[in-house]
Amino acid sequence: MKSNIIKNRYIELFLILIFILTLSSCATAHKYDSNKPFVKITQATSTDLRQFGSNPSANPYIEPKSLFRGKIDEFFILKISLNLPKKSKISIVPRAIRPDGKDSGRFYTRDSFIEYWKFKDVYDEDANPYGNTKMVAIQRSCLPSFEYMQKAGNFEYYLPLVSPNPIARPTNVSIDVFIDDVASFSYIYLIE
Amino acid sequence: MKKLIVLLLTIAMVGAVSAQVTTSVKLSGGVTLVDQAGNAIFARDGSGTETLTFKAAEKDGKYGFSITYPDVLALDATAVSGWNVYYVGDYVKYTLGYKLSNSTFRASLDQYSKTSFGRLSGISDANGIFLQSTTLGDLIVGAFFPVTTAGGPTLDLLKGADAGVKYTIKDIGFAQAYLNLATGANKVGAGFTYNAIKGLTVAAISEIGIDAKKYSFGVSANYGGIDKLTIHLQACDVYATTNSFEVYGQADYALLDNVSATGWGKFVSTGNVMKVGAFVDYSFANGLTLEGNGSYDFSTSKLGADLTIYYGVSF
Repeated sequence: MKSNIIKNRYIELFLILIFILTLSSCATAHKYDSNKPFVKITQATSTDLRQFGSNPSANPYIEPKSLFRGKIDEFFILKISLNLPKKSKISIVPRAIRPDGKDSGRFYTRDSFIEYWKFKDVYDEDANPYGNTKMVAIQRSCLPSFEYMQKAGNFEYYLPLVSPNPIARPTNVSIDVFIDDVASFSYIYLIE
Repeated sequence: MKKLIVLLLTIAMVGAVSAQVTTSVKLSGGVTLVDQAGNAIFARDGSGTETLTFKAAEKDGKYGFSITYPDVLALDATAVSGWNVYYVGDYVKYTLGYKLSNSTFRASLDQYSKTSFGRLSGISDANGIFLQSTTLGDLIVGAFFPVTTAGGPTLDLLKGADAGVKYTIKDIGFAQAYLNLATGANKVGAGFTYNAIKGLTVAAISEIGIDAKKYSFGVSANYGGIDKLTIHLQACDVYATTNSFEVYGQADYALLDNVSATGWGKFVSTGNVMKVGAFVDYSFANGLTLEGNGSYDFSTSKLGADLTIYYGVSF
C-alpha cells in the first residue's frame, strides 16, 4: 500500500519534470540574431533591475543598507548582452581603476555574488523569507564566470562591481570580452 | 556571554576600520505592538526572537568565521545556534563548526516557510567538518563528516558522512541532491529549480526519510513578469502514517518603492484548514519594516490581526 503511494508520488514528480523540460524547450529559443552585435555592454538601467523586484530583501542588485551606516556598499551594475552564432568560449576581463592606479572595487560572478550576499544579508539565511528569491535571481542573471562556454543564441547577464560606499570618483571601468580567444570587444566607462 | 559579545563587537569594530578584514554584526527580530487581543509580544523572525550574528572574513573571502545567537535579548539566552570557521583553498572550501548548515545543496520552494514541506533538509545541521569543491565550474560537490564532543573512532566519521551535489545548467536552472546520514535522520532528497523564462521560477523538490518512512514532495511557481505584481503558488504533499496535502497562494503588489500589499490563502487537508489573509509592509529607515496583518481562519471562524515592527540592522 505504502510503496504504491510512493510510486504514485514519483509518477507525479516525473510528470512535473516533463512539464519543466517542456518549458525549457520554449525558453531555449534565444535565437541568434544576425542584425545584432556579438557583444553589447551597457550600464544596467533601473528598468533592467526592476525585473528583480523593488524589495531590497529579494533584489540582489539593490545595495545592502544599515540603519546606522546607510548604504554599506555601492554597486555599479553592467549588463552584458551576448549574441552568438555557435557555442563559444567566453573570456571576460573587467577592471575598475582609480586615478592612483588602485582597484576601485571587486567584480562578482555568480557563485561569488551568492557568497557575498550570504555574508552581507542582514537576515540569517533561515530568517529572510525572500532569501531564496534573491539566490535564484543571482543564479539566473549573474555572469556565470569570467571564463566559460556559452551556447549559441541571445543571452543577457549582469556583472556587479562592488565597492565600500562610495565608489571612488573618478573610476575608469574597462571590460575586454574575448570570444574563442580570438574576437575581442572593449567597453570603457567613467564613473564620476 | 556578555563578555563574549563585547569581545566580538570589539573585533567587529577593529575590522570595520581595517582594509584587510570585512566584518558584519547583524541583529534582526520583531516586536508585535498590538494583536487582536490587545497584546504586545516579541515576534519570531524565522530563526528565533532577536537573532544576533557576527561575521568576519579576510577581504577576498579566503577565510573567516561566523557565530549566531538566537533569542539574544531574552534574559536567559545562553546558547549559540551555530558557529563556523572556514578557509577557501585552491580546490576545496574547508569549514569546521558547530551545527553547520549549508544551503548549497538544499533546494527550496519559492515561499519555503509557508507550507510544512518548503525545502529540503540539506546536508548536515550537525557538528563536524564540511568540504566543498571550488573549481568544478557549474558542478559543486560536498561532503560532511560529523565529529561528536563525546569522541569516537575516526573511521566512524565516514559512517555518518553526508554528501551533496549541485549542478547548474546555464540559462535553464539548477539541480540539487543530497544524502543526509550525519544527524541520524537518514534522508535522501533532490530538487530542480527552473528559471529560464524571464520572471518565472518553478521549483520541484522531493525528500524521503528512510528510517521514518516519510515521503515529501513539493512544487512552487513564482511569476514576477507583470510590472509591480508578483504571484506565488505552492503545493506540497507529505506522506508518513497518513497523507497531508497543502496548497498556498500569494500575490504581492508594490504600491510604492517602500510600500507593498500582499494577499494570501492557504488550504491544509489535515483538519480541512482554510485560511486567508492580507498584510501591508512599510519599509523605512534602512532596516525597519512596519507590517499590518489581518487574517481569517474558516475552520475556527477566528479573525486575526496584528501590527508588528520588524527590524534587521547591521553595523
